[in-house]
Amino acid sequence: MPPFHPDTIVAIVTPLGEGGIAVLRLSGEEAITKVDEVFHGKQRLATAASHTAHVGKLLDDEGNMLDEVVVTVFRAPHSYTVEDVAEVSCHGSVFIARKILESFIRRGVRPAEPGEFTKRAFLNGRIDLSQAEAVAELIHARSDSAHKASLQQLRGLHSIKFLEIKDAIMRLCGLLELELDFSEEGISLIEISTTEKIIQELIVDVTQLIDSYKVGKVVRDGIKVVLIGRPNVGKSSLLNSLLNEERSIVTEISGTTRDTIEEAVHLSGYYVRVVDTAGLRATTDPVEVEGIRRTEAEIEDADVVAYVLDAGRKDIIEDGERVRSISAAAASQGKSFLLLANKIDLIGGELGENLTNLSGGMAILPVSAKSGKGIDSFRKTLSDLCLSRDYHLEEKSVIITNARHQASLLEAREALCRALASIQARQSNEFIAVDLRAALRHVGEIIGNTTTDDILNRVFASFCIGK
Amino acid sequence: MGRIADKTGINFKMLNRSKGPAVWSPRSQNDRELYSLEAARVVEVQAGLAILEESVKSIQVLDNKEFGNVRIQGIVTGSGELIQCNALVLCAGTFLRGLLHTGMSNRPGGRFDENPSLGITESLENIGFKSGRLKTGTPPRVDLRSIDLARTEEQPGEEDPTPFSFSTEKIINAMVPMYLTHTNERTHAILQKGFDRSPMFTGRISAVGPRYCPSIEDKIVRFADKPRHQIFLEPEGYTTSIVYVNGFSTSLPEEVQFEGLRSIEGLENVTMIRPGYAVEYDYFPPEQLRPSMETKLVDGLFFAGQICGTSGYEEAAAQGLMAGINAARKVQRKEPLVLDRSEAYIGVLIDDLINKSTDEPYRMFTSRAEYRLLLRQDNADRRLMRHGHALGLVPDAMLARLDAKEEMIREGLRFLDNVSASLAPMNAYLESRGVAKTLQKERLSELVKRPGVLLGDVLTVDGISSEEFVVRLMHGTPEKLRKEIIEQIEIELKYRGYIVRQEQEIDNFKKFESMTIPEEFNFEEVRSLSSEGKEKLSRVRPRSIGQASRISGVVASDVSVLMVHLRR
Ligand SMILES: Cc1cc2nc3c(=O)[nH]c(=O)nc-3n(C[C@H](O)[C@H](O)[C@H](O)COP(=O)(O)OP(=O)(O)OC[C@H]3O[C@@H](n4cnc5c(N)ncnc54)[C@H](O)[C@@H]3O)c2cc1C
Ligand SMILES: Nc1nc2c(ncn2[C@@H]2O[C@H](COP(=O)(O)OP(=O)(O)O)[C@@H](O)[C@H]2O)c(=O)[nH]1
Repeated sequence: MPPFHPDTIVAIVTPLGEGGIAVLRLSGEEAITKVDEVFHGKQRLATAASHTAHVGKLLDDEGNMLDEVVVTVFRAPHSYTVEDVAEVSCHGSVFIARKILESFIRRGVRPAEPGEFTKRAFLNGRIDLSQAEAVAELIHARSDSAHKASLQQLRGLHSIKFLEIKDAIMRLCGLLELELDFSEEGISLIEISTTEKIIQELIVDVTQLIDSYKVGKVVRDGIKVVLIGRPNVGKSSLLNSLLNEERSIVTEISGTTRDTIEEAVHLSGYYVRVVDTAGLRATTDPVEVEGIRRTEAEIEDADVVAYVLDAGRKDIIEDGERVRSISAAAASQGKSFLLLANKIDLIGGELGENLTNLSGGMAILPVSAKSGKGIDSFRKTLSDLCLSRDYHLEEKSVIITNARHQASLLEAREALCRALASIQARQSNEFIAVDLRAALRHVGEIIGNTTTDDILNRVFASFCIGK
Repeated sequence: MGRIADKTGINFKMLNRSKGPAVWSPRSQNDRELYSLEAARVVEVQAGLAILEESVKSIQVLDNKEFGNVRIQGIVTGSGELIQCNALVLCAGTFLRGLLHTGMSNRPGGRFDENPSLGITESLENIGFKSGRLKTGTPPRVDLRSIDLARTEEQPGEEDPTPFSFSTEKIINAMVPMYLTHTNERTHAILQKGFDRSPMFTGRISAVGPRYCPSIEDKIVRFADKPRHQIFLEPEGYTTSIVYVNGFSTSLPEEVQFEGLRSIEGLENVTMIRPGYAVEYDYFPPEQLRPSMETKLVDGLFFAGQICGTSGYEEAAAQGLMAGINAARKVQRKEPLVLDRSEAYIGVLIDDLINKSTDEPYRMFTSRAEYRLLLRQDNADRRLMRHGHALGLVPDAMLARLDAKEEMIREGLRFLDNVSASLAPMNAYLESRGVAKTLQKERLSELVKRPGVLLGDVLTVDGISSEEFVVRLMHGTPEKLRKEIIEQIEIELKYRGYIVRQEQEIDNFKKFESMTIPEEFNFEEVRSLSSEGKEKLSRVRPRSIGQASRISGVVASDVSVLMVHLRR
């Protein structure tokens, strides 16, 4: 049997925020040509043999390089889905991967449904029969969780906006259509100029939502971690040990002030900027006014404040006051605060009583820039913070963050524009209604389908028609 | 039915003329007496048809335990006789345990002056059928001679109306006008006085009635701010003075109806021949049917009409046609004919009925059809006549006419796509229509797309009118056929963009319709279906993935799961 879904779909198939690379998979008739359109390598992918990998640049719509990528081509039927498949491996940053995803969607590739690759693999006879039930369960589980996720995203302002849009289209549809069905009574339920105005407003609303589509702030800008602490506690050394393992993909960013060093590091696909408040090194007195001012400026701008202690120092207790005031300030500004005890190699790896007293119950991350002990936990702690802040921000914002939602809205807008064109061409209600129906269907992909009965109910409730 | 309507119509109107052709809908009012005589005549002269008239008391089935199926055996008549059959179509309308209400009094009845039908519901329930109760109503009848017509607005029918049937050349019947008047606030106040004796408001009737043709008392309550409602006075025929008071359906007490009527302009001295009433009746929720109209429970038993929860003539006729066709095919051991949603309103109607449990009487609206722009009355022959011919219901001559028409349409489209007119005469025409002139030679097909340009006119423009194809069309083709051809070409050109889009949607729809689900498929065994999905699927037992996706309560992931399973 031929594949059931000739349209081309795309999704990021590696879990976000895990692993050093992200893979996007495209499957369907146009999978290879769509990648070819934006890929610049030694060879056109159109001529590439199955199961070959190609290194090259991926360009954005303006022709600027998005990333260096490896594209692997699988030709039907020798692929996972039995269709033409192209897999794009890019650097693990969520930001880059989503940018690439978006650019494919703009080129007309449809975002895959949850479990859709597997479903296609199955429908095209690729997967063993005995796996049918497993696949079925997978689809259910994934779409359940996808459903939950999208409900979460649709909380609050979002859902109200979507519902408003859906309701407005539904009502218009109902009025236009029932006017046709009850024309015998010669009633006019709505003026065409009103219809036109409502559709124009709808287009504006939908456009606003479309334009609001952004990857989360964390994904876009990364998070900023500022290392503070007295001179010589090992801040630069810690920064270096974070960088060491990431050498290959570190980018140098010139500091915002002469005295700070800012380095970027990719942690689990997130872009993390670590600032060493190097300026403090010049001053001998940590409580010196100028020093505090600069540190405060850095803290102001940071998402995560990491206070570094020298576990080997006897007078460590003197840091107590500052730890408390800075952590309180961080908390009040919604920043995360980390307390690091460096040089634990000097005290035999154990946190002494003086340290636990000082932290007042706050968790202390024991690390050693020298031996490398604890550096992995430090990295893990940072990437967890990225994830939680990412989620946190998206949930609270009133923007669209789901590529599939955006794709549906783009379709809905197109349908609304066609409806508007029909009005302007003085076509009668039924022509306007077809496209309003289409728009309703696309909005329905986000917040649930509308049946004819819903539409009829809506109108019968408010108009007296029928003999 | 279309032919009978054409023959006996007394007032025709093409509704929605000011809108696009997809929603034009022909409506007629017919002489009640003539219609029923003509209908009876058509049935009586039908070759191969025997007519027995008797009341039916119960339905008899054979429970074939060995094969695990239940088959129709026959009917038992009022006189106790068993008439055996291989297929049976039950279409008892509003008669099953019918109860007529006027005010606080009610009496058993199927229709005015007709007995209800008792026994059938019970015999079907015993087999395992589920039944429900619905309600509908009818307005009072008044005497034409007692109406002050001068105080109403006369509504003449259309001149030279479009016939229902493609085989009717022209309608020559004498036309009878209808009359429009309105209720007023006084009418509403009078009727309100009787609300305490309304079977509806006092809870005597609990069955659900249709919202799209509400009773007058319903309208007054639900739309309290409307000071008046339309009333159409419709004479029932040439030789009768009975007038149907359309818009005044009611079950209020007789004297309240009468007083209410007399408060209406033009009806100040009206004589009420018979009061309106509400009728409550049994129906069988149509999810118990297959797409062929055969019941799932009993092999060879078909249902059609109002007992399936619909209301209206067209709805009943559509089901009767399909049930009749498929009952005959059953006996001939042939596959049933099932029309789909992209082919005909009949397809939409039956598909809706069997998939969406309706709890109010179902009425067809054009808005129920997804592919409305293609399901037009003007192309019914092009959509359906081949089916009819294959079934032996349409004579060869009609099919030959259709073939010739299709050929001319194809030729016409090709002609218009290839020919352009000289500028001067074309611009003269455009100017006469108030349409912007064309600056360069444009293909005719492009010109016809412009609003205001009519194909019929374009074909008469100098230089075009002498083309071989045009001569053949304009002078060598019978008038009605010519009009149809021009109309089809014009619609196809003017609405091409919309039509192409709907055709694409249909392709997509067909893909899922063609993924069939075996009749014996056990939905209970599919572990990962949602529990609501499983329940609904087991109840409706859809025959295709497309059908499954339209069942209320079945979600997208259920459909995916089903697809996966069916691929096994
Ligand atoms: C007064 C009135 C006006 C209407 N006006 C309109 C209108 O303007 N437009 C519209 O679209 N619809 C109208 N309707 C609705 C429409 O008539 C019905 O929906 C439609 O006729 C139903 O068709 P049917 O074949 O299902 O049943 P019916 O037309 O009711 O036919 C049922 C038949 O079954 C017979 N029968 C019942 N029980 C038995 C039995 N036990 N044994 C033998 N025979 C039996 C009855 O005698 C009857 O002939 C109107 C209805 C009424 C009552
Ligand atoms: N033993 C030990 N020495 C360290 C460790 N981290 C840094 N140092 C040393 O401490 C000194 C100051 O380090 P530096 O990174 O410059 O401190 P900064 O002023 O806080 O940036 C250097 O001599 C480092 O070698 C550690 O984990 N263990």
